[in-house]
Amino acid sequence: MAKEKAAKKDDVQATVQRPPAEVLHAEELAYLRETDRGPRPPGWQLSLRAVRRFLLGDPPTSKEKVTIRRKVVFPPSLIDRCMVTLATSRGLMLVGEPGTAKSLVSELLTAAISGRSTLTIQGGASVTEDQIKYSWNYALLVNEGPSLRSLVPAPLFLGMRDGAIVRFEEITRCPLEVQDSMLSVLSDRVLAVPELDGPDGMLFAREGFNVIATANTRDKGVNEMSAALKRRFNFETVFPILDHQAELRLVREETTRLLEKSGVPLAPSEDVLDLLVTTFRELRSGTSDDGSGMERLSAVMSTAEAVSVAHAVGVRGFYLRGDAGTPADLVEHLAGTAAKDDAEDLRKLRRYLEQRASKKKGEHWQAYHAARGLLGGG
Amino acid sequence: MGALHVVGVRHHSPACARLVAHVIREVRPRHVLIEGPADWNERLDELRLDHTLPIAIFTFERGPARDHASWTPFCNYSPEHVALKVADEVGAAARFFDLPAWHPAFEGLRNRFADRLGLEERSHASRYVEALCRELGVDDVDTLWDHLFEQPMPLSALRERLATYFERLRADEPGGDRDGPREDFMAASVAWAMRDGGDVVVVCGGYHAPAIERLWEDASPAAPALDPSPPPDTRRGSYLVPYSEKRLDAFAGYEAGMPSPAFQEAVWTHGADAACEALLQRAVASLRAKRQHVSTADLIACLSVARGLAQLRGHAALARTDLLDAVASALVKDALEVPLPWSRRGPLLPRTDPLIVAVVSAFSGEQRGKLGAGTPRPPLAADVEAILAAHDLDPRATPREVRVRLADPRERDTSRVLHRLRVLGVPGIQRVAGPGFATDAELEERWMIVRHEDADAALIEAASYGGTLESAATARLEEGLIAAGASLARLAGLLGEAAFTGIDTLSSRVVGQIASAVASEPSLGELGEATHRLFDLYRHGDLVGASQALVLARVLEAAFDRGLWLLEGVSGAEAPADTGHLRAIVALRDLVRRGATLVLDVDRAAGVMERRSVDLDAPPAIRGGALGWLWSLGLGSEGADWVGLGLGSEVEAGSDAETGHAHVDVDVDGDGDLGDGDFGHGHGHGHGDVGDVGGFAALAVRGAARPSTLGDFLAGLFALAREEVLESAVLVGALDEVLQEMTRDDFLVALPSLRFAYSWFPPRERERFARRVLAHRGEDVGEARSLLSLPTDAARVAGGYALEARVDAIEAKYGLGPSEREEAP
Repeated sequence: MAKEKAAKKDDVQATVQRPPAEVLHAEELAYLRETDRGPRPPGWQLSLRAVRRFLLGDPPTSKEKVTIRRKVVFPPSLIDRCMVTLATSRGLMLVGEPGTAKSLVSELLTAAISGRSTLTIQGGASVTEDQIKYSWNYALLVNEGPSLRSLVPAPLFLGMRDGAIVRFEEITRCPLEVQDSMLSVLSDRVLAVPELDGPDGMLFAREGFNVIATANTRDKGVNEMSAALKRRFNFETVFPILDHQAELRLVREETTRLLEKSGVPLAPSEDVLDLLVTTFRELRSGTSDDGSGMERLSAVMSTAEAVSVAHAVGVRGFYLRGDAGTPADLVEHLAGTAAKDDAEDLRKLRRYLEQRASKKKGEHWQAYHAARGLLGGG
Repeated sequence: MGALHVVGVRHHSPACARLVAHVIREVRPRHVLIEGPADWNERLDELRLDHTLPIAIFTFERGPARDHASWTPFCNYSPEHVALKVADEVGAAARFFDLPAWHPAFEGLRNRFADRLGLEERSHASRYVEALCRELGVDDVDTLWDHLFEQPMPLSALRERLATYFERLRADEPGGDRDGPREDFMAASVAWAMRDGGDVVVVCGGYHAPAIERLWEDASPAAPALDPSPPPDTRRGSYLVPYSEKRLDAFAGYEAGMPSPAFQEAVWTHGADAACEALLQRAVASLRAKRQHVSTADLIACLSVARGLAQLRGHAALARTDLLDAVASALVKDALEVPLPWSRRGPLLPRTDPLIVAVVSAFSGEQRGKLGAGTPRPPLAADVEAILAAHDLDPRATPREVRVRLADPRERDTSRVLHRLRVLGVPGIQRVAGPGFATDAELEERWMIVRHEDADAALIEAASYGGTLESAATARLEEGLIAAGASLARLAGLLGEAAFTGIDTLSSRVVGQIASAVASEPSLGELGEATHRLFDLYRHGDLVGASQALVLARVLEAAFDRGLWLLEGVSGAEAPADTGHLRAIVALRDLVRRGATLVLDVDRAAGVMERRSVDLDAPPAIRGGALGWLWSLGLGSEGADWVGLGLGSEVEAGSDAETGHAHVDVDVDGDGDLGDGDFGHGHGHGHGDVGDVGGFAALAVRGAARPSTLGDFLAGLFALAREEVLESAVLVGALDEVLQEMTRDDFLVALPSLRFAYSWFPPRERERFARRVLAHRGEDVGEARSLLSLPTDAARVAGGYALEARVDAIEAKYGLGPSEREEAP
């Protein structure tokens, strides 16, 4: 029986490109539910501590039967604040630069708290209230008139009805009036369906319902959001990984994993990773490690981008020459992958290679500097 | 024989202070040994006076070999202070049992009670703390501490928990150079006290506790001796000074102990629960005073989040970060630019959200200490009195004016004294007139001196900066310099001020910090101005003793580096000439040309100038300036190829998009190992005389000869290489030809910027230029002067040209005459 189940799970994982978090980590979630003894807020499937453990993983010394893998590199206090917000009467708004794992954290939180992360509204200029709340099956509507049967629930409706957390991705990319349609739901926790008579006309949210919205600071940002809506959210800013070593470790792990998938047996070279992570961190923060300031790149210098550059470098090195990739490969890939061939960014990158790289110590930095001509593009 | 009770504490921890009081009251020992400077044992009575805390013991040692100043701060909830008080209460003999602050073991340490966990890479301890943070799910060591120890719990449990923590933190780590001598001394003191027979309570930093327990039994039980005499020529002093909560706060960037002193103080006096409410109230009041809107609903949300966090984290009472996290969660309504201050150790980052800054500052507190009556006056007051008397400057009841001639070395000393008092903010000393900057031509200062009732209080306050007028003023100035941050203009002003008080006393620590602040200056124009002023001071500051000063050299070197970086970032192919930028390039040139004692990377600079001079994205003035920089320094004359890089004929043909940015290397050290292959574009050598930079410049001028950009390009070139231009017949000829070839309309477009370009020449040089032009045309050079002044003004000439053009156009329309006419601007 258990075998069968496992086989089924493998099956899903084999055919689905990217299974949702609750499927991907089904085993861990089941174990946590089984062993969780902490108090659970009403409507939650796990206690707050178990949710934290699910996201941050067990310490390496753990002797538990199932070791929970670490899924995000975040300060624990951030996770604490997110969870407590979700357990109170305000929604959670995650803001930050693109590529800081906002969506991942929102997915993991919903998977752990509600057991499903698929109640998701993807914000965009064309999103209407129908796609958020509910719409109608017009054949049934014409035939039977408005009824619960002819109503087609959208994620918000489902979340309120079932007491689950609804994700609203990139909320600031929706028109303002669509954003504001969330107001009454968030404050009164009730959704009016005026087309239906009787008790069905008012959908009162069950315990466990809340909203996690994400917004990135590069697009429109949260400045245009109405003060009324802002008031109903608690804001959490998600930052790129603060610690150099932690970021380096993550890039190394992820790159190695991706390279294995691409059939590359060589691990990325430490020197190249050091160059990559340092370059990304300095151009992202606008300060170099000796404290001097520089312009930040307008492109997204996220850890995820760094991983994709490192992956490309590894693939190139192995399949073109059979090595693990050189600083020169890195220079070639920075232009397209990191600077996205934006002329202004290329200038900044070039200036960085000309003036900063040359001043750093180490042979790999000198090789990096020497390869600056490969940046191309201008 | 009595028993030994070692209580390992964290300095400035209210929980530890409670434990210490409890243990001493319970044990009623014969001796209480407290971590603190042993040379103060004869002066403990000074500490017992009626002070308002926080106060600190300030210790300095200043001599040829060493310049050291450090503080030992005490506040109401310091375990050390509480130990002293309770020891008196139970009749125990209290003693400090650590080395004096001037001992070499404290080298480089500004605060004896600094929390060194965050300060030093103590490999084992930091690994242990990191693992513990991970295990317990907290951000950093401060939160960890609050979580483990500051929560309400029975004191016996606290004691046990502390002992376990410190035991594991220390493990078997040896003391090393820093802790070894201190721990040996402490262990010897313990052995000495134990020989006395009674119980002994030891209050020391938790990191030392396990070591002392291990060491004392083998230590010699004689009272450890101190070497009391300082080395020759060295002044040493130690006295009480007022301190402040701001300086105790780890967020303020001092090497301080616990973060948020006002919170700790409230916990100590009112208990954990009441403290949170009081602090939240204080934070909200300060936010509302700053017109930040905080609604009642927000407050409710804030408290409910705080309670939720406390419950999640298993806290019986709200902890400091529960409350701070809740404030951030419920009150901040925007994306933050930098992480929350309490998620990492260290001072507040720039661009921290103003709301967060206000809250952190409310948690930090405003309390300033005050010394009780009868505290001996710090030596600074005596030092100042003596110095004033020696210079005949004693303040009197009626104001008097003192004139100081800076040219006289003795009077210059007087000026320094007065400036130092002014820097320390001593009331009653005011400068009425004098030079604003040390290299100004004015050589006389006028001061008003009068006795002021607050002067004495100001000196006691200032005593925390140092023991002598010189050291205190320097320390005060250093603080200002560090606070000035990244603005080179402000730094230049302050350094100019420092020149009056004696610039050579600034410590190398501060010099390094200033130099790195320069590295973030954002404006090239301001950098140029400041560099000019500082370089003046560096070269001509003899009058105030600032010439060749180390601090200036370091700052100028940093400015050179930063200038190159900023210069490379200026873009805009059509941008008009910016005088500030050109002045900056001139400054960069002057540093190379005249700053022989500076350490500058000229090769890199030449590389930057090469790239800029051929960069089509650079403003024309920058291109001209970069070229002039190389020319005037005689660099880059061999091997460089400016011609093919967009300045040559391709530009005239209008195809400037292709060549964008090619890679150029220049052989600046002249060893000739650059082949043609190094150049992206190897053509263009046929354009004329390319034997020297002047030849290149001539070609470059031809290349830049678009009406809209020519003047700006020349402005850059003239600003840097006036002399070289005048000497170069080739360039002048090329310029003449370029202007000849312009149509009348083009010339009118180019005229304003050309006038600007020529304004870099003084009148006499303009005449030389005119001679060159005439010589080039083979005409009589005697006529040169007449070319310089028109009988009428330029606007009228331009108007005349325009009128003529209209006449021509009308003629052409009606076929009345030849519309083509020789133009001779």
